[in-house]
Amino acid sequence: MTLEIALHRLERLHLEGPTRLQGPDLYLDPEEAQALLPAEAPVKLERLAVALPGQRVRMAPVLDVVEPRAKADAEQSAFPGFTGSFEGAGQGRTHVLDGLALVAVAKLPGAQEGVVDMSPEAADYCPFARTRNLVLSFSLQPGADRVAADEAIRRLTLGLAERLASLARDREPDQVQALQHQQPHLSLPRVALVYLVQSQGDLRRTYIYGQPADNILPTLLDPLEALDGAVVSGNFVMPSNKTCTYIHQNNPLLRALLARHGRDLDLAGVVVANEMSRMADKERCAAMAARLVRSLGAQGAVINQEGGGNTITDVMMICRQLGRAGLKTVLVLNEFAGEDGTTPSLTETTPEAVAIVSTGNNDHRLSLPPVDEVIGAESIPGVQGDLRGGISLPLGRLHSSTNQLGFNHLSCVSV
Amino acid sequence: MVRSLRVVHYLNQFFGQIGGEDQAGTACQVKPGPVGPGLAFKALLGGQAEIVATVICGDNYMGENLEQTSLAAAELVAQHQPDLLLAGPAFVSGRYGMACGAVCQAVAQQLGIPTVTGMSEENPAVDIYKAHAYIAPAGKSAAKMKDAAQAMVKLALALAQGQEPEPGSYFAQGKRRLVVREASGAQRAVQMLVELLQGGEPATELPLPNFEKVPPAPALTNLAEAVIVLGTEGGVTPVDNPDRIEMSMATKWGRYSLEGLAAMDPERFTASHGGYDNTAAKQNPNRVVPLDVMCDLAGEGVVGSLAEFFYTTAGNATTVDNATRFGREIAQDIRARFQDKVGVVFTST
Repeated sequence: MTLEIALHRLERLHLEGPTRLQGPDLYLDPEEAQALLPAEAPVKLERLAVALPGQRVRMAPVLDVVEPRAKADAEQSAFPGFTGSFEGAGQGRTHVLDGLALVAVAKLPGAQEGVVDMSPEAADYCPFARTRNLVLSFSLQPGADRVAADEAIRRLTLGLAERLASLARDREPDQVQALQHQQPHLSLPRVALVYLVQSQGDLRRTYIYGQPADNILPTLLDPLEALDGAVVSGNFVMPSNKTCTYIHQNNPLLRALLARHGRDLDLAGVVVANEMSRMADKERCAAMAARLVRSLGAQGAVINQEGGGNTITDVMMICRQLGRAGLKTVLVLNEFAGEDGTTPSLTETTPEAVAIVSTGNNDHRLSLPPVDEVIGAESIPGVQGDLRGGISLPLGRLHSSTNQLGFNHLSCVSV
Repeated sequence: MVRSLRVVHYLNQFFGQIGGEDQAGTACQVKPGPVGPGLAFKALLGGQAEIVATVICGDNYMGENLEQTSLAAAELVAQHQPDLLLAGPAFVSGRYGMACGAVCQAVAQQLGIPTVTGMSEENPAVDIYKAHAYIAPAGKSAAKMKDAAQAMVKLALALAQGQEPEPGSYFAQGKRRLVVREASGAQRAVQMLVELLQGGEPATELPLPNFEKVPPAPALTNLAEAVIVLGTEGGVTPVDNPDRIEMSMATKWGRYSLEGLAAMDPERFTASHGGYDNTAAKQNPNRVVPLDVMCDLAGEGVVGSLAEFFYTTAGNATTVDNATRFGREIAQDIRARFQDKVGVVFTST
């Protein structure tokens, strides 16, 4: 199968109608965005704003970030299970408004609050300081249920993402990336991705094809489907630890594996599994995930973590089982090494965990200069100072900074 | 012209030219300018830095009350407003190494300036202080003074200029430092897997901690004859926490009397631990230190008797080094009191 990712490069965003694509310019009629919200919605779209790399703009609390995408076939959906049906997922052509991100901002009780900062000083730390952002700032209607509000925000964000990308259907893309995952390359080492997600209930949820992953058994996911909107985030644990929808859509581990498929390795498949909260569930999940990887005939696997704390147990159990079965494994995870870097980062280990990629220390403290504009809240817990002024915050508060699918470029060294 | 850096040098009584072992009890004092090995440092520092004062203290005087005396020494250092502290080198000398390490740590904490000492890797102070001071590798004795001084000066000048010191120019501090890499985490992970599958050695970015394996002691043969010692990492202390055991990142443990008690009394004991909700433990400290049921068991003859004291610390974000030391010291303390037929019930929260 082949999935064509058709990239349309956009240079400018304009919040004025009529909604259209014109050369490198995207126009959005704010009324049209408002109209996507049902009359009885538990949330209000307070504000639409454009935030560009290098601007002195900060936004918080950031819930999800979504890449605008639409299938070339208007009958098909970029977010199967949310905006339409499952037909065509992982194949055909998907239009992408490249470099553009929709950022949903809302104060939602019980969601942990993350910051996106467009300042140049934040660019290395926050991946979404490097995208052109269309920011959707929501407020909850009085008495609104937070879960219903979360659902409404997600529906609007995904719907608008698809609507904007659908404008690209009748234009020539700037670049087409043909992602292929077809014949096995039997002479190359077979590898799998153990794609761990964390789904633990309301506001702590990851969706596979629209279904909450809370109680899923480990299962196979086609690599191209995984890169075509099969996984959507509603996971608002620590802002650097969760994987937002944008990063699921562009799963960097899968992209890196596919880039070397047929050259250095043979990508056997993807096992998606949820990190459960209870020990017995962790054991079941780890055993099944490891068994699935082995049934693929894999000789090696990459295992990512989502979240932190007890989730290291899931990662280590799967690593141990695969290692004992003779497979080579690489783990991708971030660290809580303390502000001065002296706290041991791993609370659980296994001798098989000999190859770990560190995506950075969540406790590392950053100072960021004042900004001209704040979108959303003026202050949030865990960040010292008014968000408009100079702030001091741990890296873990910066959205997707130490993402554990390896989206960013941070790491740690021992000194 | 760039101002030359102000340096204070710390030495023991011997290198500070006060005297030998008979003078090891000498209290802290300050001499102006460089003293003894300070002259070799002065030559190496050239015009870039000037040793403005030398703080000297006897090794025994420092060692008897390391924490307080090192703080006092740091205050003497502070009076000279230095940009940099040099200490030693201490070579393989354990007492002198501890003194240099403790003074470096105290000065770094109080003044926030770079502190550099030099020791042989066999010096036990290396493991204890490497996270708190830059320790340049040095030979075993003063015969290697010139090499040690060169290594310390090079390291100190790099630090004072805000440069990244070269790996190997100091004992690794075991700290994790954030870096930005060229390749994304995902690209690095796949590259690492490819290398592993090609038979390469993994270049892990996060080495596994080297946890010491402690073999369990043999079981007691007759519980009814045994003395049972209670201990906890649950932060239970007398209500005034007399030794100021920290609720998080503890640096000490305590031993407190249970004499005449049949249960933990909340009027006398409290709990202070940053890692769990202390409410239930404060209401009834027996929940963490089960003195009440242990007294019952002693009364029933299940165990021989109970020690009339318990051990405690707060095990929350404690460094592995400190935790290892607590274990060793507590075990030695128990052994000094009971030769055999002793068992320990140590509770964890």
